[in-house]
Amino acid sequence: MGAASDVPAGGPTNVLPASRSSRVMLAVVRVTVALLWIENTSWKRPPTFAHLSDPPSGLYLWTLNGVRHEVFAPWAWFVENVVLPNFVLFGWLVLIVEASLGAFLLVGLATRFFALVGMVQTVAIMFSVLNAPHEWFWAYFLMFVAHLALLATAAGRAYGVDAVLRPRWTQRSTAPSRLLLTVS
Amino acid sequence: MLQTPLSRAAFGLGAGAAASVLLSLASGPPLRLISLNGIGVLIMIVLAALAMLGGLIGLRLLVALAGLGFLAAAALVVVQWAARGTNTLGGTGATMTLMLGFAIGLLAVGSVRDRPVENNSAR
Repeated sequence: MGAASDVPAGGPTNVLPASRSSRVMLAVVRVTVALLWIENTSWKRPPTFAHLSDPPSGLYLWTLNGVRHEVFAPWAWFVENVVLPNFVLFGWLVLIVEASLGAFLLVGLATRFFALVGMVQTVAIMFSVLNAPHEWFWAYFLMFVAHLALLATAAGRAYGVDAVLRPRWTQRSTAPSRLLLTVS
Repeated sequence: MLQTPLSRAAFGLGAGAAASVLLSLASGPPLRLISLNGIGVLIMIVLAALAMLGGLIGLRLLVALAGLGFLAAAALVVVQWAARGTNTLGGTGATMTLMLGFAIGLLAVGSVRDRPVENNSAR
């Protein structure tokens, strides 16, 4: 037990558990979320991303769903007028973002930043598919809160690369080190 | 052996890379998360062993080399996959992403000098 000043407001019972088993479980959550993104890059195939496929398939179909089964009018307008006319560029952006999510969350580097990116990407997906036939809306809400949990717990500090490198970043006072401390 | 956090991280990443080959063994979803052919499995195992050896003997050059190997393999997969669908390692975007993860992790760990630091990470 440390000094009295180390005890957080509300008493020690308010401290999140930091046992080895808790950290292992947190790492399991992080790696599982990473595997979600990893698996989902398997069907976003460049260079066309199924653009203008007939019948629509792959990323092209799921993007069209944002217009055909509108969830949020401004998003549907954005997809119809900005995304679809530049679909191949959009496809590459999606692949890069989702591959980065899978890669960085897998090893637990810059985890808080990528948890935030994952939440943003989940909202973008929700706006496209939430009203599509046979979709289970809870899947997307759960996906969002899984990233929220990674952000809230700074999950890369549990058996991630963040845990190994943060002591080094702490000792340096350079701008990149400060940035990495913030995003980890 | 494995006396520093960096060594343990390199060994752990290598072990994780070796174990991830299991994700390609099932015949279909949900357990088959990545695709690899025989050459792909061999490359994964060799690079994973290199990372584990680097961690075991504390040689960060070896760890960084394994990271570069994974980066090259990921680049090969995405270039060939985009160009013609099939590729030398039998991979898809998922394989590329997995390899990219191990590349980033090993390069991050292998590029840091292994010296003692004060334990004040809880900040």
